Amino acid sequence: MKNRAVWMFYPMLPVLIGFYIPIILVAIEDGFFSSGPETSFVAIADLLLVLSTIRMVAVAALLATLVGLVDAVLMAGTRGPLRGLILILLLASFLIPPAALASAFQACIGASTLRATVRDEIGAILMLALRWAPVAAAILLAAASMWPLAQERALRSLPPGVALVTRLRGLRPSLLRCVGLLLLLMLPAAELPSYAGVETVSQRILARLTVGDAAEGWRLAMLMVTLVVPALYLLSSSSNDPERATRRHPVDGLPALRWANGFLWLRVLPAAALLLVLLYTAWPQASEIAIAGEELIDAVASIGLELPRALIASTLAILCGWRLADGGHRIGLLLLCLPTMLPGSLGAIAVARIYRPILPLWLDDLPFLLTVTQMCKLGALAAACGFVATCVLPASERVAAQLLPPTRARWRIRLPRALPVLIPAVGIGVALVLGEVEATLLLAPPGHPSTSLELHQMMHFRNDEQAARLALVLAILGATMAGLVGRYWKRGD
Amino acid sequence: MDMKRRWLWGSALLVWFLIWLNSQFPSDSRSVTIYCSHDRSHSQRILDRFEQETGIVVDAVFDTEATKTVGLTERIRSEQVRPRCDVHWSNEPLRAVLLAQDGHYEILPEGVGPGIDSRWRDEAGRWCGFAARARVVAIHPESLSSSEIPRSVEALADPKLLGKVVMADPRFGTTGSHLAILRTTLGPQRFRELLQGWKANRMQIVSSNSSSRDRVLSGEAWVGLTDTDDVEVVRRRGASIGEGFLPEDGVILLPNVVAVVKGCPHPEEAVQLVRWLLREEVEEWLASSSSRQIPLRNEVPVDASGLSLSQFEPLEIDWSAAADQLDDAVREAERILLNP
Repeated sequence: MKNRAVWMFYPMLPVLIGFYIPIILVAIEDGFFSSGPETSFVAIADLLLVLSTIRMVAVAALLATLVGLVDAVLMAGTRGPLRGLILILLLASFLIPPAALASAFQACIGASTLRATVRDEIGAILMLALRWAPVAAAILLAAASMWPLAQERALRSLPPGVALVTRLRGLRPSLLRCVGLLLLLMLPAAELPSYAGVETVSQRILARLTVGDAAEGWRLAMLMVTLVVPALYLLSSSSNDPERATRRHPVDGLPALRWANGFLWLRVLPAAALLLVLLYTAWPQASEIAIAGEELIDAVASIGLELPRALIASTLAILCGWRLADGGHRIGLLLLCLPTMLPGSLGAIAVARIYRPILPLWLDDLPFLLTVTQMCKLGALAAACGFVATCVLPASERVAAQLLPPTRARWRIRLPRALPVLIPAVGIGVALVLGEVEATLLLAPPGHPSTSLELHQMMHFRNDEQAARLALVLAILGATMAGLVGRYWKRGD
Repeated sequence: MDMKRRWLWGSALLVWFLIWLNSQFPSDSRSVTIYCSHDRSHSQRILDRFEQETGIVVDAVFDTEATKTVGLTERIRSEQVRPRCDVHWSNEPLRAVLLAQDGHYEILPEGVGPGIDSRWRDEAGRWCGFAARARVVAIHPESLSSSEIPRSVEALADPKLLGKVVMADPRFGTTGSHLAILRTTLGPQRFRELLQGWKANRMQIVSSNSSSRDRVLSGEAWVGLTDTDDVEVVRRRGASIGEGFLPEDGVILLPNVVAVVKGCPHPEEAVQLVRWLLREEVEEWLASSSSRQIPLRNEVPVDASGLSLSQFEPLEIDWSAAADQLDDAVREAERILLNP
């Protein structure tokens, strides 16, 4: 029992240092525990806001999962080299900042035609759902890779329609988990809802921070955590049935569906159109070629300089998640998830306030605090991929590994076998770290390159062409990541 | 993978890692760190000129609207015990006033910003304003005739404009400052009535001033509260959009503000940069840029397309009083306009 607790402690270190310790200290310092005269009124108004945010995000998560389910099932029915391209286009809507695409549209077609068709909550739900649907598809594809090979082979022998329905039914147990994870990942969303004019908890927390009322920001955060944690705990306790898996296999488990490619092409048409718009906007005029070339080189250089740090942050975070999942530490996984659901500014401010004064001066110029904070923000991804990676391990190998000393079995057998899940997750983590803005703005040392920050600044000040060029560089990076993910899934084992 | 290829990949990765590691450490030259929330494309050029003239390296951190101005102001607060910022260049005054009140700024030396009137400075000399923006209403040219353009914020509650007025999120940026100033001038009761009037008139709330302008451009709204720079930037791209200065309220000018952070690591360079930023030439550059700032000195030349101080009757604003109203103004706007 004691050993188990000790082993849970080490992978929790980054999240304890980078989130829980500073958050608790700052919350006490800001008077989180002292109540003012308006507290009860504020609590009721805030409760309504938290509930409306959860409702909106839950509907968006459900919708994203349904779209992702269709994508995931049809992806299994496609074959050939086009499959990779479709995967890349599917992921494009997630990897390119949505505001960059809106900006590109505006520059290309003109502001007068950029008339939003749907506003307010429905608009926010649609935008969130479409942005996160590819992630749902990825989660469900990963879940399908847990199925026994014999079952997949049996599917191929069925008529296409029956196989499709059977696969849909087979994915049903994973749907709830997928909705839960997406809900967690979408909760801190502020940008897209605010674009649609919808108030969310994250925006209100940011509003509190702007007027220097951090204590109320903490109260709101705590309220949200209190409401979501029980649901998360229930989700993480859902049936883990590793006995079913006998061997990993590729995800193309269905017989080839003739119409699947056509349907998926229709599905990726908006993403392809948006990419073309982006390319059109980014294409420099004859007089701008030299400047555009410089900008492109700068962007690639800054991404190149950021990549090693992003890789370190993502790898460590994912390893921590896997280690906790491998040890079966449910509470640890839950604690790992929580930083993801709060706005990045909150954690970053706490980290800066607590550690900056005591950190050695030479560390001031290294993005150490930034890296730790971004690792914490990857918590839900790390926990989810750790969970999937441990489930993927065939039961026979798990049993065989128990015959070896625990440490050897963990690092020499179970970790290498989990790599097909962990490596793509590291790739997604790298993309998320490179696109992170809030903690970067608060913690990056002056002069530190940040493509995402630059992109946001350009969009704010309507430098659409430059923004489109940067977004394209990010899209190419995303495509490379997607290519890697696709390659691993294709290989299976 | 054979051994040779492994070595090749390994060496390439090592070189990459070493370049990265080298890039993480600063050089030994004289430097100054500035936190800047003004438009990067304009401020970067100005800071580059400072670098060229003085040889002092400027490490700049620029703000972004994505974090709704939580960014740099909060960063300065969180670094209070050991600041790493030398100069704060804020593009709106009230949050800088709050920072000054909380003791985050040094008192500026005598004689900085010659020619800038005392109404644009802190009484205690902790910050100095320069190059302002005006709060305006963007007008959809095909929807309203010139006689129908609202002349005060109260006119935005006119039932003729039902559902056709848009404003940025009232808690952030210059919109928040505008509301705080309105609460100071109107008093709490009239301010609440104004908000209720806007609510009854189904005022649209969007994420930012630029979104407010964009809704006017698209025709979804006829009138949008925004800033002069947001209007000008699309005009220079050929868009047709009108603007009105709400003269019955008194034109609200929000200057850029510059200050030296207390306990900063490079105080000498910081003062040098502040003096440099408060020169007339900087106001002139900002006035001629697409952000169309308004110089706070009458003697600064302005293009025909630009705006000069003599064109307006700016509202007299008590910056400290307005900053004190910010919290209440934001809360009331949130309760009346935003709560579900």
